[in-house]
Amino acid sequence: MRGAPILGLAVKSLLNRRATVGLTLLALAVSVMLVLGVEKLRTEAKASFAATISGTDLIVGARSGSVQLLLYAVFRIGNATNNISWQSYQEIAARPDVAWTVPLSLGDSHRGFRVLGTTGDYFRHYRYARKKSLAFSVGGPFTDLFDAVLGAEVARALGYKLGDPLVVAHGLGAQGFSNHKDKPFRVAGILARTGTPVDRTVHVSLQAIEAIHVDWKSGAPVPGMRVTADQVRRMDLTPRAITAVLVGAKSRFAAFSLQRAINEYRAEPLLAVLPGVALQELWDLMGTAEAALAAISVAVVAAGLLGMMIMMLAGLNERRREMAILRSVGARPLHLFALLVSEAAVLTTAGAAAGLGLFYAALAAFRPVLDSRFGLFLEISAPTAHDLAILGAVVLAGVLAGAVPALGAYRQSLADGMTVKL
Amino acid sequence: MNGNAIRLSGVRFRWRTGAPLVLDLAEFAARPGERLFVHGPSGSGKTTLLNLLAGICLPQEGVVEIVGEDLARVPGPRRDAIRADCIGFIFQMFNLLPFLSLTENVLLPCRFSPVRRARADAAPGGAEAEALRLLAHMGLGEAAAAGRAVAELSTGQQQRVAAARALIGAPPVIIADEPTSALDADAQAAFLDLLFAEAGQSGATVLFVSHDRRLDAGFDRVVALAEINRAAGAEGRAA
Ligand SMILES: Nc1ncnc2c1ncn2[C@@H]1O[C@H](COP(=O)(O)OP(=O)(O)O)[C@@H](O)[C@H]1O
Ligand SMILES: [Mg+2]
Repeated sequence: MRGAPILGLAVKSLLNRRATVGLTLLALAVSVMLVLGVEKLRTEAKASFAATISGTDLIVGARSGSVQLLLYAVFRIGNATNNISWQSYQEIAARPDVAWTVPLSLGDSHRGFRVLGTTGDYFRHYRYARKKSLAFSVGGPFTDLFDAVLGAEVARALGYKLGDPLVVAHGLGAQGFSNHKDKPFRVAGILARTGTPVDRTVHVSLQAIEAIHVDWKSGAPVPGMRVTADQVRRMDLTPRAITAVLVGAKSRFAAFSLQRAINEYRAEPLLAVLPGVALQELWDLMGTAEAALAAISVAVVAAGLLGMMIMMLAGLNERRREMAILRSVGARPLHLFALLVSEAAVLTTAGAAAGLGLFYAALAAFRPVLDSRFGLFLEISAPTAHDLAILGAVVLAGVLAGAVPALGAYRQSLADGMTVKL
Repeated sequence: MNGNAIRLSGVRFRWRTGAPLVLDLAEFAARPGERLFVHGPSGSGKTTLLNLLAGICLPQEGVVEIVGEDLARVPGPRRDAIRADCIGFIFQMFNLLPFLSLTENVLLPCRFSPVRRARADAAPGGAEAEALRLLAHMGLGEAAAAGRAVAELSTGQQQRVAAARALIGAPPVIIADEPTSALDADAQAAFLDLLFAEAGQSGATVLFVSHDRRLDAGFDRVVALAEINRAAGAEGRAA
């Protein structure tokens, strides 16, 4: 009581007005939660985004935009407009400055998850985050023609275990009449979770992609042509074309000359992009949305603080008696100013703390959904320095907002003195 | 020091420039320990007088002294400190902060006056005990002990809590602005008895203003404001 004559009064006065103060506090807490949430999503999305692919020097596809190539080859979003011929792929793979290649063939799906045709090299060379390689939680790479390796999310969402059968649909629509049910696959391996689009991919061999399409032409089964699963095993299943190639160069320097060579490739129009550059380009495209999101959350906090200011201003008149009593027992006008500023400080500090609590509660509640639906894995970690800076800024802004009604109280107490007409 | 607890000399006051003169007092003083009753009709300037003594308002001319210090000559913060240290106030009604306990209300002046805090602390058992003692003396010991809220008290009880607050830390001056006007006759008399008893113990000067001159029993001196106020603008004169 002696140390903080005003702060104690501020807290008690606030507690006395629970209903209005409680609502104001709730508005502040929700706005703070939103800011922290947006910030978390932004940083984690960016980090997880940048961690999608690493260790690959070039991504090669048919000539289109670099962002489009990145989207379909790495994020499994959208479609390639054109393919790369097997011939071109062979020539790239044979170049002396190429260390390794991983061919990718896209176009089919399984119950909403993309099916990727590739080779065993995919599991050896694909890297994500800080040069982490893919690991199997059970099973291993494909050995049989109709073996499939599932991403962690595919297995979890569809409840697949090792040895389960699965049927690949033609194209990207839901499981419909147009599928490859005459050639079922078997789950040979399930990958450990990576937090990248790999989790949402069904991997099969390039030959398998070829095999399920031998009796198809231009997206439909050829009438009267039936090739059974057993017959297909005896056929030549070398693909005629693939969708994209991941390339590892012998050296970083080699990657640049290789990129130039591929971009100037004469037999067909190809595009080679550096994954880091394309990722940055893609992220920049989303920068506007990111800025808009940040602006909205700041506006929400401003609205919360405005609500507090309005509550305090509206309360000034009915608190004239309180002010007059305080003046009579020796409070200076400055004390009354301090009282209202303290109230604002207490309110915003409580709002920031409650907002932090709400944020963690929401994080715990929505984490599984964000992880499974959007592949966004959010860690529950202690508030970052940036989070604390945000909270500090909210409290500071709150104190400044409180200065407005506090100035009102100061002026009012000078005018009223101890005489308040009731 | 001239030995007066309060003294006004040559005071002229109007609320605003151009507004009528409310107070024009040649000389008005009270000795330490004196019980002074000032009466005058509503609107005659009683509350204005108390605002001057509190240092909330400053006269355009003249001297207002509390225990020898001229309020017009000291800086604002010192005026607030003099009020906190030297004067206990009791208003007509709504004296208490509803969000504080009875004891906290009584101890309120100690938050702003280290002097009164020190005196209350020096009482046997410390400030809290002193607050409880005053409340008990006002017949509110049980209410305070039971943790009753301000809103649960009757007006008379609230006024007695206000009296305990005015008395805590033994300020040299107690100023009461129609504190009994909301009470019935018996309660008025009982309230004054308690106030006099406590003020007598601490030796405080009591300045009691009221429009009801029937309350003057037990005072050392009774003054009609109209007798000492030469201001023609005071509305109450005609009444
Ligand atoms: N805060 C104020 N501002 C302006 N005029 C006031 C104020 N308080 C009182 N007055 C005026 O001063 C005169 C005396 O009022 P007041 O001191 O309240 O009388 P009383 O307390 O004797 O009823 C009245 O004319 C009143 O209108
Ligand atoms: Mg009055």
